[in-house]
Amino acid sequence: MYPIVAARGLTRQVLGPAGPLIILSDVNLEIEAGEAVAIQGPSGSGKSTLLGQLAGLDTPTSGSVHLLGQNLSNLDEDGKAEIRAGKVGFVFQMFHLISGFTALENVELALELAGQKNSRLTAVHMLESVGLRERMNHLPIQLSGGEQQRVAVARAFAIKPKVLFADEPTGNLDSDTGKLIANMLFAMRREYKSTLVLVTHDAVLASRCDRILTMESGRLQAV
Amino acid sequence: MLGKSLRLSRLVRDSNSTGLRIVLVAVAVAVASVTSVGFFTDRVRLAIEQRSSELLAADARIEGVDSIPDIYTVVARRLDLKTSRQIEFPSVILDTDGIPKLVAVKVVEKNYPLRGRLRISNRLFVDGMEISTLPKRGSVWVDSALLSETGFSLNQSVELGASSFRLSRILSYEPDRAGMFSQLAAPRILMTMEDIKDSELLSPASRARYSLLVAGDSEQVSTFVEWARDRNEPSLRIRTVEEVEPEIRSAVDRAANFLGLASIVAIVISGAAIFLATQLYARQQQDTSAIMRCLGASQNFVLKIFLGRLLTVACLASMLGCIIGLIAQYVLAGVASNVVGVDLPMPSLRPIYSGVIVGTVISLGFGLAPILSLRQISVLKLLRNERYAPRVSSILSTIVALAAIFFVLLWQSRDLSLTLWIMLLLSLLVLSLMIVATLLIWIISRLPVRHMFLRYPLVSLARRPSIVILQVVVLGAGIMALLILAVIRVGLFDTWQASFPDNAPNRFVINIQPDQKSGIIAMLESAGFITPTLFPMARGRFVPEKSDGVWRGWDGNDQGENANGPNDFNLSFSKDLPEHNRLIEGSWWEADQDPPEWSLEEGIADSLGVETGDFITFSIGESDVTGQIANIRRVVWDSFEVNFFVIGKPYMLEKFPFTYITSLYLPHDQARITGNMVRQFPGVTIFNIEALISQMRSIIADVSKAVQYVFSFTLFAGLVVLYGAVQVGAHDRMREVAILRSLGAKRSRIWSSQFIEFVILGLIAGLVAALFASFAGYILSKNVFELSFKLDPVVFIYGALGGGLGVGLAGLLTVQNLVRRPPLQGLQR
Repeated sequence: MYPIVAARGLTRQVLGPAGPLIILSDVNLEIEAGEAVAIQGPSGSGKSTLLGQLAGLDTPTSGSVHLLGQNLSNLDEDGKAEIRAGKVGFVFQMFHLISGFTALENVELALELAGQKNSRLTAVHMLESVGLRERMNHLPIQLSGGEQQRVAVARAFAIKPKVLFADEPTGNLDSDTGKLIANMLFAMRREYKSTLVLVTHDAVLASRCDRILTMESGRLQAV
Repeated sequence: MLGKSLRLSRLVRDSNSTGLRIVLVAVAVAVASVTSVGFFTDRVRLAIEQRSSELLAADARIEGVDSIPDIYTVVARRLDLKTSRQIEFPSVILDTDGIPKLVAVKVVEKNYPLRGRLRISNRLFVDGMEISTLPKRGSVWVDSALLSETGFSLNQSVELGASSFRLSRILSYEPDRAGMFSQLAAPRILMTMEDIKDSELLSPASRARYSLLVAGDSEQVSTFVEWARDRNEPSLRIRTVEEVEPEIRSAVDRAANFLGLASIVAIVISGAAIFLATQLYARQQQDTSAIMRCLGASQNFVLKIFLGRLLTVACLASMLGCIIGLIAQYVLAGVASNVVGVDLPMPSLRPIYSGVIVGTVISLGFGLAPILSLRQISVLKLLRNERYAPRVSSILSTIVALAAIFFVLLWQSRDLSLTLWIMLLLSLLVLSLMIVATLLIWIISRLPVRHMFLRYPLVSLARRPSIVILQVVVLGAGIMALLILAVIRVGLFDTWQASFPDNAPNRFVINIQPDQKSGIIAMLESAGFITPTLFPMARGRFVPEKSDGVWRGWDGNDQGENANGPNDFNLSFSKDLPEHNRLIEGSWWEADQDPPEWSLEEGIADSLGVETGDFITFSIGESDVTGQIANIRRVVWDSFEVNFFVIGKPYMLEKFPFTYITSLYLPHDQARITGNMVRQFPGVTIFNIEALISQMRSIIADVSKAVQYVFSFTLFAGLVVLYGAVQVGAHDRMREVAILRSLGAKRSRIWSSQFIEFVILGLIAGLVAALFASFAGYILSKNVFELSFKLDPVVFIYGALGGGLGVGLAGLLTVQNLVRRPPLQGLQR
């Protein structure tokens, strides 16, 4: 029986102008269901790449990743997408909302992809719970950074994810808004009992997790 | 600093940009199309001139009913031109049964033919071999028809005038006997000048036609022709290569017009692709531009950098296009081997210089506005990492692009009205497409669609109005251009096909006396032919008028019919406007009422220097018939039907002696009927134009292939536009596909929603384009190609299906690349 997220000998290498560049080197880790894990490290240490690998958003050069009990190496892109749909949520530093969709439509989209009925009702409820009742029909470009990140949080939790991947969720926000978003994130995680994998530079935010992992030059320093 | 920034290495790095790559391909396609068509039409025209020279057996001929004055020979020789005299006249021989038989005697002298070669054989009705000598003294060469009709065989002697001649060879081909109307109807006897005096064949009463053949350096020939025309001798007629074979020239001119249009269309489509591509390039370069501006670069400096790059790419692409064009014209020449079937000098270098100018002008015309937008990049927005597209002034874009198209069209077509028509159509099209696209966005944004499968593509369209309008306009212009070509190409091919159906007339029956008319019709009907139309025909001589000391009348620009002498015409009379004729001036007449009126073919009216309302006179027998010109007709020469230059009202001409002429299709298994007809109806002559028709067919087949081939350039240009159109907004698309994938969307779902989005774009663009293509097809068919046009609903199906499916599939191909990538790549960009 695998933990909810696990990596074995995970290596990611890309070809740079000066030859091969190792971004992740032999990473091994296990995250249990319900756990909150922070990944910290200096810029370029491979934190975001590791998060992408664990979520099945990228393909490793070698090694394997197990997510929700499935070996991602055995799956094609559609297979990985199927695992994510309705079970995995994301909050990104750059928000990554669909620019042509309103806040409400962005949340609805995730629910519809998860195959949930009454997506409109759930989406409205989620946006209300992040304080965006008045902004539901606004396009992302009409929202501030903090509001966009609240939409992203609502979208991530609308599907009641088993695992939530958050990549610098407060990195683009001022400290007050960052705190607000962090509070929402942790509150909802508790409410929906989601496992959290959080990449952050923010030591205070990391300290709210159950465990902190540190990356250094593509290697995991302490587990 | 500027020079350093423009280093080639920098350019090579830029060339990784999708925008510049599309500019490179689009300019190369446009230039290749212009140069290949330019090279090809250059060579075809040269080939046709050579062919035409062969059909005259010279580069120019002076013809008259009296001996050509020696001054013409003297001047021609002084200009280092080769000359050869020739006399043709009808005569009579007695066949083996002692029955008189009309023959067409041709007397030639050394050097004949000056262009082309004679062919002779020892057997009837075979091609024979080329020969450069002439019959020996005391012998004649005759054509197969003479032997088969008279019962003589080779080496027998025949009495001709006061002499006896040995029938030494069968003349299977004489170059200046190929034209349909330029031959005497009777079988040929060819002899040399040395024999003519002794034979006493020629007398003042002989209906002889004298010719002086001239050939040599083209400039010297032009000088000679100009000098001869300046002498303005009404009794002489000057024929040059421009006037022979109106049927073939008409077909080739249409093809050349079409090829010209195809290359213009390739230019317009490529222009659309360049506009899209430079927009893409401007978007891709906005960061670079913003950083330059932050570091203190002036707007002009930024402009010089990017304009310099665009022009460098345009020049490289133009050179590439010229090379492709040069190679392509060799392929074209190979494809059209029957047209360009003779050894030709290399085409002129004009197409290369045209190509480079076209490449530069369209690059600047379509690329300037997006590049100018790079000067005005909002540095603040970019530093705040807000994605936005540089604002391209639509008024400036339109004005500069239209100016570029106007210049290129006018320069290429040298036809102001065609240019203005295309400009008007393009402007209307762009305006309509913008209105339709805006309407589409308005409707879509109000559609109450709940299902995500449909909602995502619809919302995508509704929320990106500027991109959607740009895509619809550019796709619409591209699809319209392709549809116009398709519409006209079909019309062109249909007309050619209709001109030469399997049962196209292959025999002309002439000299039918009025009392033979009913007998001939009965004979043909009993042999299973459809009742033929017999056209009356009388010989008349145009009577030139002398006013202000200048002869008004024949200016030498004959179009080929009246070969029996200068100013001699076959006059016909008719109650109704004949088929294959269209009135371009004046109106048709009340046949039974006064005043006496003539109807003239437009070319002959030009040559005679007359117009509607003028009075002209023809001398028929001993009488003069004067009438007013009631109308001018345009004749479809490549229809191969019986046509007349001059038609009068029946009551004016039916009192004079006349004969009938008709054309008919004679299948091979019924060829015998001609023998029976000639025996049963003495004096009737049949001539076979099968060789000419099959030659026309092969030329048309070749030109059709060439047209298809050039069409492929425009199709390719269309694909470049398609690629450019789906690349617009590709950056956002890639990010959104990655978001959808991270949220768990399957490939099929992404494909289907992208497909729907692009199908809607293509469908709308295609339908509007089909509407305009039909309209433009109508205008161009009528005014430029002189083809009949019928609205074909299939165009709408092609437009909708081609647009919808084509754009949909192109969209899928682009997205396929995106969905295959791991989502992280799209999210990190």
